[in-house]
Amino acid sequence: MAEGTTILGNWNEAPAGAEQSISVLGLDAVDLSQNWRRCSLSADFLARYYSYYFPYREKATDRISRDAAENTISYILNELIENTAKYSDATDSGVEVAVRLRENDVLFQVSNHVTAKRAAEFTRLVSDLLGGNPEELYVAQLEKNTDSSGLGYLTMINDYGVSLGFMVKKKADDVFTVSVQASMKWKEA
Amino acid sequence: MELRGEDYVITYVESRNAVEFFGTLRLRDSADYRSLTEMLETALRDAKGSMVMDFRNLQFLNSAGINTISRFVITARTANTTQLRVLGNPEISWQQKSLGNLQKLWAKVSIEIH
Repeated sequence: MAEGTTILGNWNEAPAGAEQSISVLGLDAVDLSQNWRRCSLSADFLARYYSYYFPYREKATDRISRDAAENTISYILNELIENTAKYSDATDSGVEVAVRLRENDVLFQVSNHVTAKRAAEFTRLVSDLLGGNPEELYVAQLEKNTDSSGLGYLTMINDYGVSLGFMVKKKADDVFTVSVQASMKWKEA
Repeated sequence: MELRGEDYVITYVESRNAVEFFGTLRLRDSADYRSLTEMLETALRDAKGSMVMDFRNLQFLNSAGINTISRFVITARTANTTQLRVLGNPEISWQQKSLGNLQKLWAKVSIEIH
């Protein structure tokens, strides 16, 4: 893995103070992995927390409803948090989950740490995902008959209309910080 | 036959050739989903003509679970002996958004979301 910083996809350098709300949750990949249900629990907590910004279905005319927001946020965060539990292999097992409610989207950013080898594999995987047609890649991944890497990202893009950004940055010897951003539009088209 | 975890129950109702899902299903990987794959393949072998996968009470399924279900659809497509019926719930957003993808793998899967 090269030194320095690699950015792929729609990465947002979010200007500070531009959000209506921000929450940050610090977790540990070892804990998440030891009891897998902690991934779902953490995702559900933030999903329910942010769902209160959205109106009940009958009043949801210009934005998605509370139920839809909670479901979608839970799906996206669970996928991102599961990845940190599965793939964190560096000496630093810290995980950070940030949610920013902004004018037009909810921006999720989930970060963890991996070794140089895994950082290089991840960068290749993401380049392949972003370089192809997501609908075709989705079917191709499933036909391969493996633990389809990237399937979570492809469902977010294809089924939830989410745009993704990635940053891989060297932190220390053999420790790279991987940050994934997912932007969910909350206004109904 | 039944699979039970802390957040989910999956039941194979032989009399109706139906596998029914309840709760939240977010297991780690295909190794953890192996018992489900085996249950689905048993149901497929036993099915006379048609088989049902009923997701109407499944609140969440993660991408590893979508992978498992999708691979089973490919297995059923390869066998080509059984009509697959998928039942979904329009109130549950992942089903609205993602269940239709199964037809991209096998056009003959029937998907009923109502």
